[in-house]
Amino acid sequence: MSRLKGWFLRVKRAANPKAFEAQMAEEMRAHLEMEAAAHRAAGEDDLTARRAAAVDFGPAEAYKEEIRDRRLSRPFAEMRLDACQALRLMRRHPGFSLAVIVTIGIAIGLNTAIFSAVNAILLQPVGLPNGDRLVTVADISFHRTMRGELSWPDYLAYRDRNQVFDGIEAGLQESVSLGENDLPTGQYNQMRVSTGLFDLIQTPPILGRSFNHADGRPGAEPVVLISHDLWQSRYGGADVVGRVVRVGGLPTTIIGVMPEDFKFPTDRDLWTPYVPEGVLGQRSLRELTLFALLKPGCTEAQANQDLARINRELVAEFPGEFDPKMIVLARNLPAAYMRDASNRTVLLFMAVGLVLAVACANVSNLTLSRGLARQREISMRAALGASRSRLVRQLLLESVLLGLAGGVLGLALAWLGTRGLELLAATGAELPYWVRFEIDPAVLLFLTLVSLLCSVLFGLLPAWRATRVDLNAVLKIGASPGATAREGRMVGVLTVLQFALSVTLLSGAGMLWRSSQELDDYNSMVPAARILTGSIKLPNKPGQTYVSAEARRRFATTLQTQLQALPGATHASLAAELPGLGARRSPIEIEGATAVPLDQAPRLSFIVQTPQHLETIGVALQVGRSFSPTDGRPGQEVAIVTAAFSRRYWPGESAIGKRFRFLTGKRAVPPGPWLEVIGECADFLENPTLPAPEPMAFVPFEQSPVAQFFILLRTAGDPVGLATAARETVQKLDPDVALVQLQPLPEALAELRWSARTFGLIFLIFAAAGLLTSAVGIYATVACATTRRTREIGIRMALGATAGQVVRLILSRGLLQMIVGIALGLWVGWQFVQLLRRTGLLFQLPSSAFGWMLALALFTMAIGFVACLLPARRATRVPPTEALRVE
Amino acid sequence: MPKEKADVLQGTLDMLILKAVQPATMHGYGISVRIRQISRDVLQVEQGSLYPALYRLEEQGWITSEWGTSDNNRKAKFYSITRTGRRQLEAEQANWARVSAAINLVLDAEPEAGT
Repeated sequence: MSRLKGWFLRVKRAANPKAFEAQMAEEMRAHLEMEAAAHRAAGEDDLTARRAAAVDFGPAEAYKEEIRDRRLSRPFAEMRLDACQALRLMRRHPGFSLAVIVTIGIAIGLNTAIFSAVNAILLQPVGLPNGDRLVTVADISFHRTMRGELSWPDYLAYRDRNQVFDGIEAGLQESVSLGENDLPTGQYNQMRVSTGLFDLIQTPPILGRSFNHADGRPGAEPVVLISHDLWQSRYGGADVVGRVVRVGGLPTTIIGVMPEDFKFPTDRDLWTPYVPEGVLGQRSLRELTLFALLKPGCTEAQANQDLARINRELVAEFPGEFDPKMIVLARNLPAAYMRDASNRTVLLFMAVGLVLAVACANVSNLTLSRGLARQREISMRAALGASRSRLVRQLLLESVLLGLAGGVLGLALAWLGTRGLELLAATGAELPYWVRFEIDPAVLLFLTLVSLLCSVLFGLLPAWRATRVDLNAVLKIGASPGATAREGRMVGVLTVLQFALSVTLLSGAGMLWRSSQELDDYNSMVPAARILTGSIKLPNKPGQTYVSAEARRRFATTLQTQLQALPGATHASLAAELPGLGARRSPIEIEGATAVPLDQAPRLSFIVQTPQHLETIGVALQVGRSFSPTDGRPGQEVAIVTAAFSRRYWPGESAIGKRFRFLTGKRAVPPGPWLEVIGECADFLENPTLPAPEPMAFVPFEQSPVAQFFILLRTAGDPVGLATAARETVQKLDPDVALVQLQPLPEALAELRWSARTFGLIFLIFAAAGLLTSAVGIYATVACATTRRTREIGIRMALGATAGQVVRLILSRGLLQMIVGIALGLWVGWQFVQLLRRTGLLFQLPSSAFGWMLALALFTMAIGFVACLLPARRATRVPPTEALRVE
Repeated sequence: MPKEKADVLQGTLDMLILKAVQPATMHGYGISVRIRQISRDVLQVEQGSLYPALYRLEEQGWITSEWGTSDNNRKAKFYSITRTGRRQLEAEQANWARVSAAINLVLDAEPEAGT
């Protein structure tokens, strides 16, 4: 009880230091007066009495200090003192302070920015009601993506038979045209959804009404919900509910506007009810993804067991219609939509971790070097009675202040960084709409923790070292406080570490950068800069204009003829794929080859195209003839193959006149007709993830009239000039078909290279930051070491050493550390590059990858060499007479 | 020959203060006078050094303080012992008695032959 009172007393005293101080003084004064009075009573005069009292009392100030020492606020008062001291020092050494703050600031800024992505992608819950219970259900057995692969009857089966979901809805994502009389037709991302979807995710529209069951019945009035974004950008926020527009050519009524930022699940602008009519209701049309809400307490594993049970039932009930190998899985939304993004984010996080490590090692090194220079100050403090813990505390506080200043700078950089990331994500990564990069409390907490951790990391070791002083050795007059061997080793190890980490980062950056550049050099025969490309999707669902192949053929033929006639156009063609952007693959059978089971059949990339396409993209025909307008008609099925194709399947023979055919991926469907090879063209890299051009075939559009294709327009000048004319041509041909993504071919290619280039750039920034800090670090440590050795150098030079010998002496150690660091970095860097390849960021190693890595290492070395040379040269310029007078 | 003056043993100052304030409330000066009186001037405490001890004891809850007026009408801080202080004093006195008795035993012992 009284102990508690004692604490209460201490708190009271700490809370009011002024009153406490006054009390103490008053009490002691009273004592002195009473003692003086006693002396006077003994007959002494006033002055003597007072003096005697003071002598008897002893050093009053010292006693007061002893009392003050017990005060609760004592450590804080000390800290304030240390902080003032630290700030004074920071001002007195602006170069050092700035180097530390900038180094730490950059590292913390980068880390925080990337952490905001980690936070948004990996840590934040899905931004939907019950988001943690929401899963997608899809067949991942064939394409290994999470898109589609289930049919409407499948959906009904899973809906009615499952025991694990509180609700399950379906969606089909597609691109669709949106037209009306007074606005140009645009192409938008649509999702056809079962009518209960918005109830499942508990998101009603902000204007108008949501879908009801009647909207999904066959024969219902077509209705559409639009995104807030579309509402603003296309209609300027006007009252659109009730307006009739054409969606995919079909008159449709807008019934509502969804909330701001709502794009479910990724990047959608239109939602229409899925009406299971005709083909859309058949089991063969497998394009649906299901969204389901797990029952509370039900795990994904349980859900998957239940789904597997349903699959077994379906395989037994509908033999031949279900592939027993089908794997239908429930996965939470982050796993379904952000697997790539989270892999990459983790990779980035590792990389910025390296930057932080370099920064900490560097600052540690700087502080350590300065600690050596400060030995005399520290010894003085120790001699005056500062305990080691007090000294460590003081040095740590300096570090923490620098670290926090770095953190403030980091916060500014991180803010910029998140803006940059948002821009990058908007252009390249298909992130769900609920993912936002923000500096929220979690990110701020991370920033603070990292700043503090950094300060302790870079401060503790040097502080510990610096305070281990031998007073006698250091305080001796004239003794030069030199580094001991052990401290030198410490600095050396840190330098090695910095260079190793820098080279690691630089390797990653270099490989990504170089491989994205090499991608540009592929297919050099394609005059990409003079080709305009655009994308078209013909509405070919039942009930739409282009459901018949004949309608698509007619459209394509007319369009090509009209495009070719445009003034300025030298070539025009339509093709299912753009050159160098990957192609569809299908299993094939070569005539006369031994038959193999379907899943072992060779798979071939092929491109559907109109005549003139090879000429447009500049691929030379080597043997045979190109497509004529009648090629591809029944009885005249043909193909053109690449040289690689004929080398592989008819080695040493001419391919002309040979035949092959496409097998469909499904067992039940018969293979296509035999195609006769009429021409052989030059090799051509369609899939940039492969190291060399693979065998390919070209097939006439007439033969397989696809609904989605690209136009390619080649001109003699700038292709962008043709954009308006091309768009008008398509509009005039059919107002419900939109020509979108009009851009020169290089820009279309750049989208593919986005990830390699972007991540290359990001890593380059990281590497530059790392290299810069390492260079500053080695410069500072060599400079510091050299300053300490000024007298030694003076003596050497006075005794006849040449400048060159002195420079060599100083360089030798720095260089050795650098070489060890770089060698280590090359090894770690090589592992890092392998990791990049495994995560798919790096398609393939650039040619002579190791040569490039060596070049990067030499580059690092050159920078380090200069950083060492500058202080070494400076040391030799000090005249020996002056050098000897130092200290 | 003047009386030898002894430094107060480390740690015994607390006990002396508690003993001094045990019978009556007393200010700092009074305590120093009283310690000198009872020890017949043998125990010489540097007067200032009382104060850190007083503050410490108060924070331990063994004594409490109050401002009041001294005999010659001067404002002064008066200390009095608390119940826990009394217990502490008893414990320390008992301990002291035991230790000093033991030390006396050692000092009084006759040296034995051969050792």
